[in-house]
Amino acid sequence: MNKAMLNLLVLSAITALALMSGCIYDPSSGTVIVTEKVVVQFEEYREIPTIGSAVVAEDFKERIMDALDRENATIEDVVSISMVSGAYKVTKPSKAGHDWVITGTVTMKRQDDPMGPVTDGPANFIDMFNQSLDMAKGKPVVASLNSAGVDVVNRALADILLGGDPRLIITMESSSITPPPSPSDPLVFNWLAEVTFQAVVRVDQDPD
Amino acid sequence: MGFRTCLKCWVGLSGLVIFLAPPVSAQIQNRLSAYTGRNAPGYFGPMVNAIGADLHSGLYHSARIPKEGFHVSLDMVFMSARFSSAKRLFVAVTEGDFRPEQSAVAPTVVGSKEPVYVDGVSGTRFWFPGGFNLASFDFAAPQLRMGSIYGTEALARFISFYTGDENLGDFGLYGVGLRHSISQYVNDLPIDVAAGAFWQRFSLGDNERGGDLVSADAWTVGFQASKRFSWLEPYAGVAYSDFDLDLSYQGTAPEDRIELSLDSGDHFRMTFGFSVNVSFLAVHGEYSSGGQDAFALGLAVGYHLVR
Repeated sequence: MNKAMLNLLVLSAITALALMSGCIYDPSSGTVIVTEKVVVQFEEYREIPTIGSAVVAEDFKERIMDALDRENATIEDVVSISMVSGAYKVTKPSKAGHDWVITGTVTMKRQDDPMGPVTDGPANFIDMFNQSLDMAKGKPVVASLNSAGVDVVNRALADILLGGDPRLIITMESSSITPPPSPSDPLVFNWLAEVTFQAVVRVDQDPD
Repeated sequence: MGFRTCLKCWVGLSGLVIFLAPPVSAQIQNRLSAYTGRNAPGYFGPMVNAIGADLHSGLYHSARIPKEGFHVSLDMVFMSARFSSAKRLFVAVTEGDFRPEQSAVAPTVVGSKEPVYVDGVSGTRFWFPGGFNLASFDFAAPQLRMGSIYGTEALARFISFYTGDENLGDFGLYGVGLRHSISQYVNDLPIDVAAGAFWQRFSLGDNERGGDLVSADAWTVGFQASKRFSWLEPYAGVAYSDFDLDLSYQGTAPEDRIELSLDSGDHFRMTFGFSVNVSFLAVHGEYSSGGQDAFALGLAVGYHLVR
C-alpha cells in the first residue's frame, strides 16, 4: 500500500470517528416529569357520630416551586400539570380497644383569602364507605376519588401556571361512625391525606 | 511520521473523540428518578444493552498472536450501538396510587422526548416520561495490547475523566483481559485462532455513601479467528458476555432513594470485521450481532504490530 493510500485511510477513519460521535444526540429541549405530593394532617376528637373537621392545604405552589428548583426550571417551563391520585392513612390510631368504621366524604374547596369568598367548590373529593380505621393504619389507602373534587384541584394547579397561589380547604364530613362515639368512648385519632400531582416540565438539554 | 509523533497524534485524537461525545449526562439524574419500580428495566433496558454491546466491541482485530517476541500497540476504539425503532418504545404500567392501573406504549430512555399519558378515574392523569431521542450510544476508549509470552497477550482499557457536571463527577472505565493463541498448537492450520477473556468495570459519579452513582461490570469470553491476506485481515468471533449495571442514588428527599440493578439480557455475540495492517499502523472495523448490534472502528499504532 502506498503512502497516499495510507493517508487516505487514516483521514477517512478520523472523519468517520468525528461524524459518528457528533450524530448520536438530539440537543433540542426535552421534558421531565416532576411528581410531587401535598400532605395535610387531621387531628380528630369526636364524642358524637359525625365528623366535620377541616384543614388547609396552601403549599401546592411551594411544592411545585421546590420541585422546579431541583430541575433548574421555572414556572414558565411547566407545560402541563394535573392530579395523579389521592390517598389517606391513619397516622395515630385510636386507643380505644376496638375498631371504628366510618362512612363519609372528604370535600375540597378553594378559598385563597381566608377572609374572602370561596372561589371554587366545595365539591365532593373522596368517597369513604365503611372505612375501617384499623385497615387504614400504616400503608396509605388509595382514595376513591370524585371528579368534582379532582376538578377543583386541577383548576387550582392550572392557576399556579398563571401566577395564582391557591389555598385549598379539605373537609372531612362523616355520615356514620360505628360504633357511635360518646363522651365515655370518644373517637380520637390522627390521619393524613395525600394529593399527588405531576408536572410536565420542559428542560434545556443543551449544556450551553 | 515517526512512532512518537504518531503516538502523540493518537493521544490527542483520543481526547478529541471523548470530548466530542455529547453530554448526555446533563439530564441523566432527572431520568434516574423517572422510573424506579417495575418500569425501570423496560425504560433503561435499551441503554443498558447498548452500553454492554459497546463494551464488548473492539476488543480484538486479529486472532494472530505470535508465540514469542515483544509487541505492543495502543488502540483507540470507537464503539457505537445504534438503536432500532423497536428499542425506542416499551409497554409501561402506571405506578403509585394511580387508578385504574393501565398500560401504555411509552418511550424508553432512548426514545422520543415527548412524554405520553393515560387518563384515570375522575379526571386524574398519569404521565410517562419521554426519553433522550438517541440515535445511538457511542463512546471511545483507548486500550493497550502487549505480548507475547507462550502465545499469550494482555489487553487493558483505561479511561477516566471529569464529566463536567458536579453532580455526576467522574467517569471511569478500566478493564483487563488475556488472549491466547490456539492455532499455535495445530500445524498447518490455514487460519489463526485464539481464545480470550476480558473483564471491564465502569463507574460514574459518587453517591452519598462514597460509592458510585452508576457502576457496571462487563465480562466476556470467546473465540476469534482471522486470516491475513497481505495487508488485509478479515476476522470473526463468537463470545458469551454478561453485563450488570447498578445504580445508587439519593435524591433531595429521604424517600427519593433509588437502588436499581439492571442486567443486559444479551449474552451471545457474533463479530465480523476486517483489519488493514500496515507496518506500525492498523485500522479496523467490525460489526457485532447480539440482542443489541454494535459497530466498532479503531486505529492502532504499535511496535511490531504486524508480525
